[in-house]
Amino acid sequence: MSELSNRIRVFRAEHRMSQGDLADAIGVSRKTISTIEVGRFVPSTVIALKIARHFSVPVEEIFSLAAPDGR
Amino acid sequence: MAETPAPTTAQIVDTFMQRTALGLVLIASKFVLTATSHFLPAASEDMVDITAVLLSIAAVFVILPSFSRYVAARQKDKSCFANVESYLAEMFKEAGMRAFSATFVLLIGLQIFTDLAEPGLPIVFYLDLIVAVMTGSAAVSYFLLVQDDEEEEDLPEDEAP
Repeated sequence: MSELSNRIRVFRAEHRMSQGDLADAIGVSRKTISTIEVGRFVPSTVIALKIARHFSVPVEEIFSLAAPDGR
Repeated sequence: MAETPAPTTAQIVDTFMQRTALGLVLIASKFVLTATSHFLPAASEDMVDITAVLLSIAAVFVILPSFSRYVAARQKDKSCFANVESYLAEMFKEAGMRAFSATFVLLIGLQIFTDLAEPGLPIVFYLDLIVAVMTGSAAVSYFLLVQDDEEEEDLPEDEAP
């Protein structure tokens, strides 16, 4: 798992969106969204900003660095 | 009857990656077969040749449709593909790097082996073996890298729109 944690699933649930809906909205595939969600794929700055813009929140509300000691 | 929505750029790229990896498996199988044919009796030569041709044709049929869709979409809008990012494309690049390492190690191994043993095998055998390892290791690496990716959860059904 990467050091980057994210709250994409939370935001999707709030907006009642499936992974496919979000993927179509920002121009990536569903698999790309699902692998970002579980931390297997670290997205580029462009994808991160597109996701943040889609949910109309600052990028740091969705993505954050995990604490170094895992807390 | 409802029309199937046109695939997005990202879906076209992902399908192309999946089909290319599948095609690599077929190409690797073909070269494994031709490499091992040097150790088989001459009577099996025709069978090996026919199977090799069938595997090559199968590889073309597996890759060509997604490749032509990829090229057609790219011709339509080049900028679209310049910005597309895909997990599968990244894994394909990673698999390519692993395949390069595997091929490099094989070349060193073959160099040492031929210097020590002088097996007297034809050069075609080594070429077949190298291409088989190169394409096979790329395909195997790719499928190993993406193998667990079918389990990710989407929204529960009652939450989905």
